[in-house]
Amino acid sequence: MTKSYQTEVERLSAEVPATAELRLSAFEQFEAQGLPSKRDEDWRYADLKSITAKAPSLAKRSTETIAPLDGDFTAHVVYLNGHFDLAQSDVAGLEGLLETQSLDMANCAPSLDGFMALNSALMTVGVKNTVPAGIQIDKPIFIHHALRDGSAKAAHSKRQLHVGAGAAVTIIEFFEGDDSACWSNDVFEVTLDEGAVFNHIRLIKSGADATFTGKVFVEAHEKAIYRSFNLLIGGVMTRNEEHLSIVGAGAYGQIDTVALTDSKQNHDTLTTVNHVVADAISDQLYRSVIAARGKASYQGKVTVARDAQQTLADQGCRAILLDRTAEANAKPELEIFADDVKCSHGATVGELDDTALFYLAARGVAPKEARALLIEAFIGEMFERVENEMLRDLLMREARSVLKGLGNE
Amino acid sequence: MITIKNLHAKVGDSEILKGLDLEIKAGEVHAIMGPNGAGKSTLANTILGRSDYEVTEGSITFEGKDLLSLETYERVGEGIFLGFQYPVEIPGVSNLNFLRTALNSTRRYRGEEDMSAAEFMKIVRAKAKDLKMDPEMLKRFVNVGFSGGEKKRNETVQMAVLNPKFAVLDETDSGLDIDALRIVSDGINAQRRDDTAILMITHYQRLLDYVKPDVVHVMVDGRIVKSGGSELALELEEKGYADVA
Repeated sequence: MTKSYQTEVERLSAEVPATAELRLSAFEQFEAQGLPSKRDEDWRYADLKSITAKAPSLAKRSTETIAPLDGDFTAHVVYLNGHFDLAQSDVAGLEGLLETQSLDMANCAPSLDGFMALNSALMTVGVKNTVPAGIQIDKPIFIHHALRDGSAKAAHSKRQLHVGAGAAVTIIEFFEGDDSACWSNDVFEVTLDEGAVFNHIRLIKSGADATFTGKVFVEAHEKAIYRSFNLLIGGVMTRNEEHLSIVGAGAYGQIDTVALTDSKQNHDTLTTVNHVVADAISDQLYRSVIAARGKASYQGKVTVARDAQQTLADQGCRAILLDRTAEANAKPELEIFADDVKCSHGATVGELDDTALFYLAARGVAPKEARALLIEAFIGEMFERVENEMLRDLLMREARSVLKGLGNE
Repeated sequence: MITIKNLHAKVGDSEILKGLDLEIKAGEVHAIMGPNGAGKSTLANTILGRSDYEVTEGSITFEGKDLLSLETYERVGEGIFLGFQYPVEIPGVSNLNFLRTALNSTRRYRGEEDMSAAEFMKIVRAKAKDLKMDPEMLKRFVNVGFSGGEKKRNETVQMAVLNPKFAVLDETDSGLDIDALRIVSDGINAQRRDDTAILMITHYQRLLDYVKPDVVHVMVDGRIVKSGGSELALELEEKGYADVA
């Protein structure tokens, strides 16, 4: 597979010579280590055959019209097939609120694995956005990542966001695509200065045979607030990673994930939270609902450094299996080097409550609808944690649209 | 309205109902009394078609239809209601959402349109008021944190909103203080009409002081062993099941 990629790396390096060094060194790393496999502890629950067997080549530019989701947004940013689509974007509202530059290549996060190396080598989006200090962007920004090639192609995008001191922004990222075995591989690096607030919503709704691999890196400085909410729907393989590093006292990090995993889908979540300094809080909630032969996994590691006293770190992980062939994996981990901290983690796996299902049936509610209602109740309180009401409703709508179908092939 | 013939049902390997016969006509209120383990709750669950209750023999006919061939929710759509002995808590689902889903499900089963939100709210508020239920409780999760009495009152509100043709009330009086018993009884009496039927399952006479049954049955060991007028309940209270049955 490296041969076909090599040609693309060389072509992209020639097109934008400034990126050549990053691309070539990343590609070297990719060639040396290859893509991860089940033998790698962090990837033990993933199924990567769709990528490793086919080595999808880059998607071509497209002029297809992309329908946005309904909502009141400051701006729409559209990336189609891994290219910024100016015509379909509406960024006028960002004037004076968000600055855009080319990627800060000197400060890219080092590649953790072959996926990330390939992302650096093959990216066709490389951009850095900055919200200047003190700027509050009231309405959310909508970033739409669409893959519409129809022939099992890939898009690699790398983006950086710098939220200045005291600034605040809410971004919803919508990853979606056609039903082919296409692949979206995204890296998003975020720096939050003192007192910055970033609400980060991700709706990852892949097409039937599609694969998503994504990594978010967040560095939170003093009193910064990071709140993420990830809703995973569809696809054969979705791997969503968040890596939060708390480097400033008084910072708060929240990483929430809801996976609605249907038959033959694999939703794989990995988070790392690194408490480097004292006096910070992290709070992670994960819930999954898994249908027959579906698989959803959560691996979450919290590390508390020796100096990170008074850390509060919570991890809660709950899964509901709709069938005996559904698979849930939970691996919460704590590594604590400080002695005065409060850390907790819990994981439960269960089924829908039979008594409640009968109660609903005894009130005339048909089984499919009864199950959907109980699932909605199970994930409902997760959505309460999304502060923006419009986004909360949008996410709930998206969740509801698949709830009744879960497990009904 | 409902005819039960030679009903045999088992839970797991043990047969609980052993040839039960019962007929209730429109406009009638029947009460079934009997000692613990007689199979009273099994009868209620079997009428509703709960999956762990297996009918091995006999029939249940509701308004000419073979009830046993229908799923639980379909039986409810046909107009049957079960008031639970132990109402179930459903965290995350509000009472209002629960009631609206239930009402619209039964309407859809009957080929009717969903009820508009405004009309629904009007009906629910009125029924809650009739049963002296705090409207705030409608917003709370179904039965979560409700007292025993509040749960039974909630069951009665559900019955009033769904307005069934035939209601089976499984020990609706248990866990009620005297005021709550009176309110719940008023709710049951409001459901008593020429075109409805009610089957009350109870241990005690006291509910029957408020809701006077037309017929009282004594159930022992999976069968109805004696039937009579409301005076039979008084006799039971006085002499106990052993002497009467």
